[in-house]
Amino acid sequence: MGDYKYGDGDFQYLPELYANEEVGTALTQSIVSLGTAGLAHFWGAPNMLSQAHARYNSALRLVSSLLRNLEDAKADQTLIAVMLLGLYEVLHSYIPHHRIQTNILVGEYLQQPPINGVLDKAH
Amino acid sequence: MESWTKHISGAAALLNLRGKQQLKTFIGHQLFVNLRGQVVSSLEVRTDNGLTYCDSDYQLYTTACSSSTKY
Repeated sequence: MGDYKYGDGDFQYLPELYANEEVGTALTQSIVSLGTAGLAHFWGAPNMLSQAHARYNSALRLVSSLLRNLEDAKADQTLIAVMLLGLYEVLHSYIPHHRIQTNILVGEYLQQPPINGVLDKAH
Repeated sequence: MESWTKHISGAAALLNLRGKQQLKTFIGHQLFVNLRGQVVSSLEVRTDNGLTYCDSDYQLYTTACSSSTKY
């Protein structure tokens, strides 16, 4: 891997982790669930979304069992898995961009600020 | 929103559990900074009574911010 940086942000330390440690199933499943969901959106393949969700549930179970053991709970991999599962949730509850655009355009047409409550719809 | 908040609550508990040691590695420090940021963000949207504040969080946070931490 050397000095090559896989960009910045959440995932920059993942290659190093993979090189230095044995990666457990909980972290692996978290990554796979995110990746599957990402591919599902990329290809426009809704059947993959159910696969992604199955992986997500599996990852959730695996992380839960890690939390029963103190050493596993304190491990970096566990924390990363939890973070990735949180990210999965965020990605599946965002407002589609086109909906925000629509509300802004309608607001401009009516010469008002964007329609209130746009963000409430995310919850 | 609620599912994310639950994950962040879990992460917050883990940050406390991991203690001072977690800040001694690059990866531990990165994770702490990222997740504590998300914990603070979650306070904006929580509908319950929020997380219990504790001293160890503040100590960890100030240690993490200290520029003398080197890897």
